[in-house]
Amino acid sequence: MDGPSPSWTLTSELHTESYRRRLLVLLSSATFFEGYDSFVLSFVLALVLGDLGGTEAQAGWIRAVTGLGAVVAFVLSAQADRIGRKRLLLITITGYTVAGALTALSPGLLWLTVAQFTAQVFLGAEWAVAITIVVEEFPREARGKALGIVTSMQTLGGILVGILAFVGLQSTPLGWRAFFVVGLIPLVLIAIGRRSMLETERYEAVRADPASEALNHANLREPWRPEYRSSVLAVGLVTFTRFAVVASASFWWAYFAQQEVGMSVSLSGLYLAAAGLVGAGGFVVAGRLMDRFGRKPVFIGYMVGTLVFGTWLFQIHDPGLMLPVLCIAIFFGLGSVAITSAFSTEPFPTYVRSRAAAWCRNAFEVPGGILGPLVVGLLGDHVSGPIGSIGDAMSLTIVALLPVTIFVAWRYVPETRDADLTHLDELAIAETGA
Amino acid sequence: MRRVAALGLVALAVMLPACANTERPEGVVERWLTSLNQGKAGEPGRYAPDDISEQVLPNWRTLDPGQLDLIEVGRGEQHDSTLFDTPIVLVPFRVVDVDDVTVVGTALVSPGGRIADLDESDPQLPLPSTGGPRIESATATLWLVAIGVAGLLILVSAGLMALVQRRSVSTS
Repeated sequence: MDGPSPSWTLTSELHTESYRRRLLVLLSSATFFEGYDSFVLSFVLALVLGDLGGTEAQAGWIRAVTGLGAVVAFVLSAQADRIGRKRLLLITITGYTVAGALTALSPGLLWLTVAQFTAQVFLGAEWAVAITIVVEEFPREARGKALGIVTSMQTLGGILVGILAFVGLQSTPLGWRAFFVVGLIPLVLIAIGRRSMLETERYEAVRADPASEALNHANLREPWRPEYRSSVLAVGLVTFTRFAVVASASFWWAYFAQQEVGMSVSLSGLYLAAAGLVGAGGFVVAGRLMDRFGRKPVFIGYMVGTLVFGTWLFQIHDPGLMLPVLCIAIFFGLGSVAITSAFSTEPFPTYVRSRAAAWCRNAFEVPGGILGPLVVGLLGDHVSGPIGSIGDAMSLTIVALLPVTIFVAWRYVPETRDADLTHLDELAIAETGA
Repeated sequence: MRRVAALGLVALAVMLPACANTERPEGVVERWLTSLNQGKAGEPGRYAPDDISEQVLPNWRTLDPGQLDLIEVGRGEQHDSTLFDTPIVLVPFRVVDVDDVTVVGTALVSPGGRIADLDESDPQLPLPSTGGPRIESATATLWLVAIGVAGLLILVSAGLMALVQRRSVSTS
């Protein structure tokens, strides 16, 4: 292997298999509640408006302002390269739990908006640091599987909100506030994590090496250095277009089913929960397949599946056919995030990995998730939209965007199945001349 | 860079005509019903007088959000009216509340975009669930435009990537 003489050891395997299993449980739990907290506000918004008083227009503003929190999260999530993965993970879990508690105490819409904006800042940062930890702590042949498990938890966390609503949590004396009280459970994770979680081996090794002093661990623009910028832009374009489609479909499907297909609220809720559970298998399958066949071919396969079944889904007007197609579309559409998580972390050396993941997630993916639903809404608005149908606007958006995702992934995103992260770190240090 | 900017301008030129505004009376009826479904948090008065709202969801001002489990609106049809100079639009709708009570009717939408009255269900105006047409359907041209936008975005992406890769080579 080319590179400097390995006087320092980045390849030590001090963290045992049983530690990794416990770490996987901790990260999965954190991501599960991240999914729960990300979804809960939109689910209870109508109840909030009824209780605190507010209009649909104000609801739109609340959504827009809180959504910006996930963009601002970029600055926080990038700090993992400076202060360490473990510390930032615990800070983000504490942050979103406290913000959730403040939401439960909201006396009015302004308080609620500020609390949820704050929650989104921490939630947005938690994701990037969690996948960075997975990539750094798991051996090459198990990274995909671990990413699949951790990312699938986000969807399952969202489904918990639906299940709690189904069993009538909103009918308890606390009303909609009860959903945010449930969000306090991650405080237990902080207690466990503080005691038993270790800093990632790779991060510790890089920071302990005197040669790494020459690397820039703090500059937010470091991922845009000539060596990395092509990968950042390619992965950014892929995550932007993919998430614009996936977020739009997630946001608009219930509306489409209820207003354009004529399904009841309860039936569409039941479909979403069932399809979400089946579709969550897409994450785990993606994780296993990408370890076996590589990241790019599996991702392209998933995107072709999303293109076909996503486009079809929004053209269906028969509730009987809707369920199986919804399951398959969720399987491919949401499941592909396990692979984009690998794209946004594995091509980069440890000293800059978290910032690169933050760029890909918070500067590309999250804006895609804001812009996509907005464009579909404008095009498909039943009163003034040029297309006038959410179903058609959604299908056309999928047809317009996903070929770009597939093309950029095929042509420009590096394959990292066999990436040796240790070698990447060695190269990064060698390039400093230290 | 100039090539990328030119591609962006072409994309804008293609997309701008798609932003032409229309005012669909079916959408007005749908917004009215959706607002009505917000119960005491809703503002159905923006679309219809209170007495009309009361016919669909009695005592809506005292109800919690989510009383309607299903809202369906079909494609409307223009009709001459003795009340207005210009034709009104008849829009079929159906709502089912959480107690499974169904209300089917036709909303008379005035030229100003407000619901002027309600009428009984008209067999000539079937809802999508009973085989009627959807409010809008994308034309074949729109599908071709979407494919064209995909091609254009691929070119823009390739241009951007080429630009970044060239700069990376020149700076390294």
